[in-house]
Amino acid sequence: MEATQVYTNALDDSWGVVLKATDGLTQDELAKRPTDQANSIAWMLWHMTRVEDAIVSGRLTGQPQAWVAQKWHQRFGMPDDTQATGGRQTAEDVAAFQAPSRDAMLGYASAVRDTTRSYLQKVTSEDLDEQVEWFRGGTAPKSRFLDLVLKEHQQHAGQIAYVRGLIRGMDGIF
Amino acid sequence: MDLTDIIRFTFERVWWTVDQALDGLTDEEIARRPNGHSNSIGWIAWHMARVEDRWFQMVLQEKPQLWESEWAAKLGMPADPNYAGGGMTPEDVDKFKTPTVQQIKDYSRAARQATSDYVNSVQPEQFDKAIDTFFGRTMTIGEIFGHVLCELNQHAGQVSYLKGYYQGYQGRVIPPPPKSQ
Repeated sequence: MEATQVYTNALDDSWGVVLKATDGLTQDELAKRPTDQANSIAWMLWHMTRVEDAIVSGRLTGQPQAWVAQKWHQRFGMPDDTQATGGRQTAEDVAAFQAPSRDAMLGYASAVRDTTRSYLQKVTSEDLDEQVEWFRGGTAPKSRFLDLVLKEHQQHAGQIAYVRGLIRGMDGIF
Repeated sequence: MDLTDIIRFTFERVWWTVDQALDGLTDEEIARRPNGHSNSIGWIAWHMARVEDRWFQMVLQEKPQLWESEWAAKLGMPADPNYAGGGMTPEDVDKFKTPTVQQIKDYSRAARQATSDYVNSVQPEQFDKAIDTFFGRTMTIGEIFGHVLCELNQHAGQVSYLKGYYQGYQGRVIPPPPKSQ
């Protein structure tokens, strides 16, 4: 089995979780924050997509992020800031986040995922050994960035599923 | 590119995430549930260790689970190899006696060591070997690793989320300025 197939399978799995966990939710439910210090499903979906977009484009393909190139930032009513992925937001920023529709959020996620999938179809496992600049200095192999995208996507997918349960109870989805 | 490296790295990240979340929590806090139907941190972390034990001992190596041979007795729970959380009804979860933080750490550590030993023993050519799983599906060893990692990552995320749900930002996010008087 090729490493690229492992990544593709794993990313497909958590994509499936996101689709299921957001299925049928109202706009209020997508935007609901279980406490005033916990994130909403919508915020997490936006954030995990921003991370994938920024890492895949910034470290792997070198192409512009879909956030800017396809003007997805406009659908979210947010600036075209390629550095902003949510990790450094203040509490005010999180409180001010305005979720667009599920279709818009999944549209952005799908566009980003298309780039990731095409990339994984073209590269070899050896390509993923190439060392590129790591976030805090030094270098890391390209595979390490995919490991990070996987972790982010899967952990947030799990959180989204959990928050759906918090809001809806056991409604038979999972 | 070494598949074993990817798998080992991802497991270590998952385990680190859970350890970070459990740090500083009491036995009472990990047993807490936000409502009558959502799972506690303790249930989720216990379930994660059960998932590893079941897949890597029973399914992939056809060995008895650590649960059956030792840990069910230590935790005072049924030694049934299928007693792992999946399929529990709300009533089952209500009756579930959450292990202590230390018990979860100890069982997890044992399961993780066994997982590590197994990961280190798998040869690259074995990743394509087909295995009959208890789901009634046939999966390759590589697919099983991917499946288990996805499940564990999701649960690790949930454990971190729940800690934040109970404890708030804890200084990790810049708070809003105080409202003017």
